[in-house]
Amino acid sequence: MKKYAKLAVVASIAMVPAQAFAATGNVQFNATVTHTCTITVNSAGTLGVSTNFGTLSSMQAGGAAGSATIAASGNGFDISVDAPNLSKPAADTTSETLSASYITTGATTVTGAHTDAANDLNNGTTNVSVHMAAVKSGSDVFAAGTYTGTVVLRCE
Amino acid sequence: MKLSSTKTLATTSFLGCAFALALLPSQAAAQAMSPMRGEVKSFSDSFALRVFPANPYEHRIRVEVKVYDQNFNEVAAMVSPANFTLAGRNSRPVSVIVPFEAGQATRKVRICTESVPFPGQNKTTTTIKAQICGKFLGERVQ
Repeated sequence: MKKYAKLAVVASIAMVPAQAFAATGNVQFNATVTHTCTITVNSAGTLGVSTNFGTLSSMQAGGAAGSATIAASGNGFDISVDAPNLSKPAADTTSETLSASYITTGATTVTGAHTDAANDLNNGTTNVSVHMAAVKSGSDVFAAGTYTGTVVLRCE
Repeated sequence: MKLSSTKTLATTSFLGCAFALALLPSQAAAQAMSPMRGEVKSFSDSFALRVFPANPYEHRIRVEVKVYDQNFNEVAAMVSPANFTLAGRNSRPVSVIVPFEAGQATRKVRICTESVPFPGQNKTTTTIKAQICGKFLGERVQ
């Protein structure tokens, strides 16, 4: 009987599980975020003609502003426009004064012109209305034909 | 976001400007250009960058990449490719090698991605030309 008792004790000791040692490790995740801005041109503008044919402008009757959306993923970006270019028919040989401007709504509410310094853009989506005008001096008028203005809208 | 405050992504090139640096791209499809800030160190007479113009539209557009100085005068840099078409919602890498000016240890440039998604229509219009410009500083290591 004693013999069986000893065997039982030895067997029970052998059945005690070995102690599990915990191990830990760190799993690292890395990321690089680079902020950027995106310009999406929604629509081109239209130049209206003044009644005396001396002005082409998106603010004239029949004209419309061009529309764009700027999405900035961070602060620190700027918006600006350059002086526009005007493509005109060969029959139009006199010079004109060109100007461009913009009005924004949304994340950033500013106005600016091509003669102004760049404006700060806020993080988020900004809607931009872009205007352009071409003005003849004195009694000069725009000749008949097709005119196309180009305004550079910049985010930097 | 001032240049001086940006993280330096620089890698020093021991083999010349061609290997100076590949700036890390951001992969989101609707970005017009990435990165938009960076600093590069180079042992050679020029420094190299890589930017990723992206097309945020659904349709294919023509893209031009140009390099300007601080006053928006065009810089004679090697841009490859400088003109290409880009499928909708896609981006591609563009390599730019900018020479340092004689005797100057640094050079600030703008690398601009330009696109005209709405070319001239058959009426009197105003076309908006979108231009995304990144500001980069090259530093010559003496």
